[in-house]
Amino acid sequence: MAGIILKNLTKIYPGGNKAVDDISLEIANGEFVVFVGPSGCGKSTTLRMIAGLEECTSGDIFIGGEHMNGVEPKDRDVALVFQSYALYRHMTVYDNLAFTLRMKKVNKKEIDSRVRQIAEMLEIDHLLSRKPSALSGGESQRVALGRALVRKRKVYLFDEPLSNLDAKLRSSMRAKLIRLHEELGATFVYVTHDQTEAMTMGDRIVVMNKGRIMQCDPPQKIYSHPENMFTAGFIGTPQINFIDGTIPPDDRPVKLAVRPESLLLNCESEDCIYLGSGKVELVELLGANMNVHIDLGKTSVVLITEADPGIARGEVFHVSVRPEDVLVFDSQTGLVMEARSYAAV
Amino acid sequence: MRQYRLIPRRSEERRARYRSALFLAPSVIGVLVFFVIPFCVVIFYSFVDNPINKEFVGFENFVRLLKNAAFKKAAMNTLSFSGTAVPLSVILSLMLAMVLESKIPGKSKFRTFFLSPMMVPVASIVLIWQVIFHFNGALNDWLSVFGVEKIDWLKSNYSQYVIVMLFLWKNLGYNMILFMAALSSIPRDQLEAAQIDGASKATVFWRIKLRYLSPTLLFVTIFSLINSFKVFRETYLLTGDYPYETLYLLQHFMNNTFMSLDYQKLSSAAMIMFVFMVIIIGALFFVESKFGRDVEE
Repeated sequence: MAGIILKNLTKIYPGGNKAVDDISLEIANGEFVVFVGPSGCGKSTTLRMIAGLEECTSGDIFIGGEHMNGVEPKDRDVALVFQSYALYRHMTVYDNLAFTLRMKKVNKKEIDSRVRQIAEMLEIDHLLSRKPSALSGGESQRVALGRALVRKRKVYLFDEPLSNLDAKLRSSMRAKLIRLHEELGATFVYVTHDQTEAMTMGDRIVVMNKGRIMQCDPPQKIYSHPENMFTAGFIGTPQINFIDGTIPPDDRPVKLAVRPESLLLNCESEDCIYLGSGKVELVELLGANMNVHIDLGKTSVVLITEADPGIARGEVFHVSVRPEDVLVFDSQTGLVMEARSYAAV
Repeated sequence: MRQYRLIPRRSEERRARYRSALFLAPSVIGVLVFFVIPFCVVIFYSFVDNPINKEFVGFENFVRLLKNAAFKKAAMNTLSFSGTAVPLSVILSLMLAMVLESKIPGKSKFRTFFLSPMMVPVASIVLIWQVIFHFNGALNDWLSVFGVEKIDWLKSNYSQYVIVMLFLWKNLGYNMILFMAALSSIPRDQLEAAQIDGASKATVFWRIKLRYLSPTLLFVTIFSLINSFKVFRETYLLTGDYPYETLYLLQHFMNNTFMSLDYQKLSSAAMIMFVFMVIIIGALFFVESKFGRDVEE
């Protein structure tokens, strides 16, 4: 097990596409770090550079204190779970699991015991004689996981491993991965575009956009104290509401950001800041809660409230927010600001 | 109310059948006239005493043929030629494809270079090879600079190697393109997974790539085998009816037998060759079905 250090890492593909732009990051030994961001933000490229499957254009990679630039993937002592699972189609599940141990010339008895142990742990022991073509998506995913875990490695890398599973299976696999991380105490680097996975699994989340790290913090901090508009907008479902505003003394334009669950309907308290009134455009019932889309004229907002049959399309509501729930961002730089007073426009 | 028929009328079905039969007819007639019927005639001729008497003689023609020294020589030469040229063609084209698949500069130029022999007409090929390998040709001229004595390349024990070289020169490019296409269709993530799993380049080749290449290997092998018989064209034009003994191929034997109107011998030889080919291709298909079963989409 080992920590990872990325120093000024850049990847420029032939043709000039800058996939990763001068990122630096330290991942502690045993940490579970999740890279999250939209498609093409450079998260998978970063992971592949850590694995050694991509050469970095500039910068340095250290795993367990060792400089890894130019080191072959097989010599980096990392495991990688692919999005497509990448199981060897012509081998049985047993052989898929045993492959890496055979490559390390582990003796047959030890291979057998390790394979059966990991298969039992992942509940795939009844599938050992099957070929990948005879496995379901969930089973293939567990085999891919088993292949990564069957040999002890310094670092375990995951490239969107749950993205091909249905919602129910994804949820159970998330829990399984969290437990596995706790049991192994190894360094996990996990790439996803699913913010639920990022929020629930990581010790820290690295939010990436256009090849750059926008923020790297624990999930709660990322959610409640985003450092920039991108992070605020990317994390959270439904998306955070951005409302045009100004700050004194010169009425400088800013963006006010309010989480959907922080917006209040018809609040009569004096503490609340009135944002505007508008008609309900759409109501999405989610069981215990509902998403309410309200048109405030210049902008539309979404708020989450308890399911209430009294809230229906076409009705008019006053929308307010408590001052402590408002985030203020500089309209030009997109960075968070410390502003004590502001006004919505 | 108007009634609609959901089931097509019989006459419509019949018309559709006639239409499809009409479209198929040219191909079917071609195959029947040029392959099936002549093949049946060949089978018939191989079991009768002669085309006039047409008396059934069982396997007598085959027994006679197997005792024929010229046939044995031709069969052994053909076996030796195909046994050398086909594996060499498959292995070398695969090696070339792998070299060109790696990141080397000027890839497309190499590709064109290796494909260019396919564009050269047979007559030109023969002319070029005659210029090179004639007793007074370019190769001997060049070798004489180093003090090497003149060799009659096409009338010596080297002759089969010369034809093997000609065969390789002509066929490597096409096979290489087929292998390049197959190599590029191997799932990249599996190769990367093997790299991460600690497999060496050789292991990745033997354990992963080769499995994915097996359908193409089968095709290229069969294709090369067929082409190895077609090399008769060049050999015949280079050396005539009765070439140096190592170049006397089955096709020479058949051509000469045809010229002497010995249809029984010719038909029996064709039948033996047919059975041999069916066994080889059947074995190749069997191996491929075992080896490449799980990797095909």
